Amino acid sequence: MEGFLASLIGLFAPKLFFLAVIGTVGGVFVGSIPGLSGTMLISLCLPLTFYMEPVSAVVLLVAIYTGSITGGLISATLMRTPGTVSNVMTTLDAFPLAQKGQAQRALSLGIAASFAGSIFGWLALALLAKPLSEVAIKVGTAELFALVVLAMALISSVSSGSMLKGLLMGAIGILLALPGVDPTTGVSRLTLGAWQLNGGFHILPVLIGIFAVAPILGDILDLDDRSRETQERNTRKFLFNFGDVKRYWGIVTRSSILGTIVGILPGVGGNVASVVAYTSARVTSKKPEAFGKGSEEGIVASESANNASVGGALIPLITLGIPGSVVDVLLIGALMMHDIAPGPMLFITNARVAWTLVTTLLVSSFLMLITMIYATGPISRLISLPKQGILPVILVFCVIGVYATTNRIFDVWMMLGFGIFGLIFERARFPMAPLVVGFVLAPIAEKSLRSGLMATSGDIWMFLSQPLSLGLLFVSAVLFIWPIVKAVHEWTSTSAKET
Amino acid sequence: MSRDNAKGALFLEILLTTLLLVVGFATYQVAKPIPDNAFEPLGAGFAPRAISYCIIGLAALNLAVRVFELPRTMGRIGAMPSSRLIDTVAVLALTSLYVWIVAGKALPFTLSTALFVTAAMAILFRNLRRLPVYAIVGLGLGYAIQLASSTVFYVDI
Amino acid sequence: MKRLLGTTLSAVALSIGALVAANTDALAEWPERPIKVIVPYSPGGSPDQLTRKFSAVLAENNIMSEPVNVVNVQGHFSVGATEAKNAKPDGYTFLFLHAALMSAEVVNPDSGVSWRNYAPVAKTSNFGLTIVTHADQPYATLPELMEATAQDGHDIKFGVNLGAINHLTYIDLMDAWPGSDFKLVQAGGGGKQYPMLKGGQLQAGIMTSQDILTFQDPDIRVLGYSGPARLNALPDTPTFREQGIEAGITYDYWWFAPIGTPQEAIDGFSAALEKAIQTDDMKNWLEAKGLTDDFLKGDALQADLEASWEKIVPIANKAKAALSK
Repeated sequence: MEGFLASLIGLFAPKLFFLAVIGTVGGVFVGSIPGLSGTMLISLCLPLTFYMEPVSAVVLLVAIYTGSITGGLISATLMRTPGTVSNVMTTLDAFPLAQKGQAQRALSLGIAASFAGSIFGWLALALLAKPLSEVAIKVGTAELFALVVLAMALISSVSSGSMLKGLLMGAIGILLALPGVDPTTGVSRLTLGAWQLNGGFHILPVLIGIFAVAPILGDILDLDDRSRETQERNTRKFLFNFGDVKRYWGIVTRSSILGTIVGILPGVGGNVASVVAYTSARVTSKKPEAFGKGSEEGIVASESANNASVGGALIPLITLGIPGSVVDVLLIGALMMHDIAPGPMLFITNARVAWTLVTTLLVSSFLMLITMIYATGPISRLISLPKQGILPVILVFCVIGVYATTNRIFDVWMMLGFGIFGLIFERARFPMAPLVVGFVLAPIAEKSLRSGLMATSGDIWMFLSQPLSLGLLFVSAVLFIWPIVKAVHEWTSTSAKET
Repeated sequence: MSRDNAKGALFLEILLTTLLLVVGFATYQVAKPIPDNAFEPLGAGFAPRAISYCIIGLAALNLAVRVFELPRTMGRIGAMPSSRLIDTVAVLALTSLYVWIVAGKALPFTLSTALFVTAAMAILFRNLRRLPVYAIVGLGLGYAIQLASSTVFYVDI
Repeated sequence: MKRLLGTTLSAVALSIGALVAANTDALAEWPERPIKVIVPYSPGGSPDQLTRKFSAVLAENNIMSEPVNVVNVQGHFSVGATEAKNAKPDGYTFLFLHAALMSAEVVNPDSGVSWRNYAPVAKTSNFGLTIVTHADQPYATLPELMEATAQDGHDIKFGVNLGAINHLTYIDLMDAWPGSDFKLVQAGGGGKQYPMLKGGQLQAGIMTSQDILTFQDPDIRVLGYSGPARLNALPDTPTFREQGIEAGITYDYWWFAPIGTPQEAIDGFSAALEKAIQTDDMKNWLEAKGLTDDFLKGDALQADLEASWEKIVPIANKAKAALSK
């Protein structure tokens, strides 16, 4: 408690507070602009933090993390383009609502839910970090594999459109994760002889290609289409009242708990958290048919869960040194550059850094709320500048952003390739979220499966003998088989009709 | 408009699913020779082979389902390509040229960025009279990035 | 409007002229622009920390007039190494790497790397690896652990990064203790093994002293160090040889340039690195990280590289045989 208070007071020192404000505001703006993600801003800031005090580095990065995961809400609502991967589920309902002329309402709900989720995740981080680390430490390779498989099954089944296409895109995503030198055997596989692929596809060109370049190209195709320009731009008013608190506190609490738990799980962050919370909200909703067509519950569930996952994801980072999400990988990198090992000893050897992780999340949650309420106006005007003028500028940012992070022109070409791929496949209504999730999770799944089997000398029984992994795998199997059964059923019934 | 043109989308989907089916078989062909080793229970080839089966199976199933849908919509195919298709291709070509110039450092970064932004905006706005405005935006952007990447961040451009 | 257009166009033309002119003069005096060092690993890892420390020391002590920028190329290290090999040999691109370069040439010829593809610049510091176990385990010394594995066989899960330098040290150690037989589990470097040791998925592992000093965790018991003498940073950790095990291989950190790089750039950079490693700041940092302050350049470096290659090839061949068994 002493350390917490000292750190909280320390955070209001001019320099640190300035960094927290810059980080949060920068995160919100960058997160809201499609093509620029928080992950990218954090990667670009990593070299910068190397020249800072460790505490300053933590303040800046955590503030960007909190800001960007919320900022993506704005473009998700107004442009149908999630600012970050974590806002994919929000887009499903916030954009239809905006099309109905209720953009302000969608944004206000999203902001309130984000703040509530953020505070909830923070509470979990502050109170439960130690007890939960004892649970997290027991996540062995079998359970990890089962968790990743479940996450893939979930994302495929909740993606928009046909589940079969979701599964197919998930499989393509896994395929994209495989090329390169296999770390276990040193064999160079599926590279088709290109040495540039020995390290595999870098995540940034894949994400920016699919989530930035493809929508930009799509926007160019649709420039003459006026039907998508109907959302109102007056987003100044904060349409939220006490009745909403009464109406949605249940969903917010449930989604925040789910978001926090998913956040704690290694490697899976805000994107999976929002998917799980969204699905759960749809299943328990009285109006499940409204989901995907502008359901307020959908927005609340997705936004509270992805923000709660930030706090959740920091729990394994602080207690075990294991990244709870993709962004946490960058945080660990930043800490290690300062000779600081995230892990169970962090509270003892670097108490100030550990407490700063906790208190920055709290302070930046409030800063995020203020920024979102006052900045959605300017940001939406930023978005409503003529697209003809914005799109080329964002393209420049995509090119330079990928190059600045990976230092390879090859990756810029890959980004353009994934952009074209994403454009064409989206036109045929193939969902892209399963592809990206498959791409991110496949290496974790493969490694835990193979390392697990090495440890048991090939005995597959270890995956089935533990109740947790058995249960998770069973649920996944049902989720995987269901769309296939459904497709076969559709097929047979159609052919019956034809004859 | 082509986006909501169900028949066009269905036709495109069948085409792309066929493509993915080919990708599945190709993956299997490339994955087949990856050596298995007795050192660990699953070799480097396990995941590629397993995923090639998944892709072949799922693509074949999707193809079957969609082809059966086709007769119902037959005769109404003919989705008009968007009038902006040429613009899209032109901007893509322009972006490729831009990346190529940046990669080879054939022109200073500020300049190549200014030229790219000016040309892309001219294509999209279809308004040549505002060319100076585009050029100023482009130059400002290029200079700002150039400045940031030599002072704040290090980017070799 | 027309006037504005004219002004803009002439401004553009002028700036083209000025910028092109600035870009075309030859290597007059090295260095005249920032230098790029490719580190083919993620930011935050051991090689990255060391390169960035050098970059900071070079700048703070005004040893170099231009900044030295660290550029991380992630993925398999061969990707960054090949980028460096193919870079323009203009004296402004360098590569920082360790013995993985030699090991991969033998174990994984697919990756297409070879140390002979580069012009050697300098060797800065040398490091060994440590054998670790979880503090819950009953093994207090390295011989106890080796004894236990020779008896129980297969029951002790040992984390390595197969084919990488920690695997080579492992093979070197196994050769010195006939009959030892761990259950090898692919884990990766120290950063990956650490949580697996804590979570009980591994009983023992192998990591750099730099990793140990970063984790600073009493749950991780360090049983032995592969270097020739105890480290000042880890005074309680005996070497392998002190414990009667005739093994112990160490690795160097090397700086390379693309072949064809002007000699004045190679000489200039190696001289700057030599000055940097002699500063107290650098010496203290290296000691705290468990790294030596060895330095070599020129012909002595070439001979040392040949010697390292001779030493690594037989062990790397054993690693390769073990992997294709």
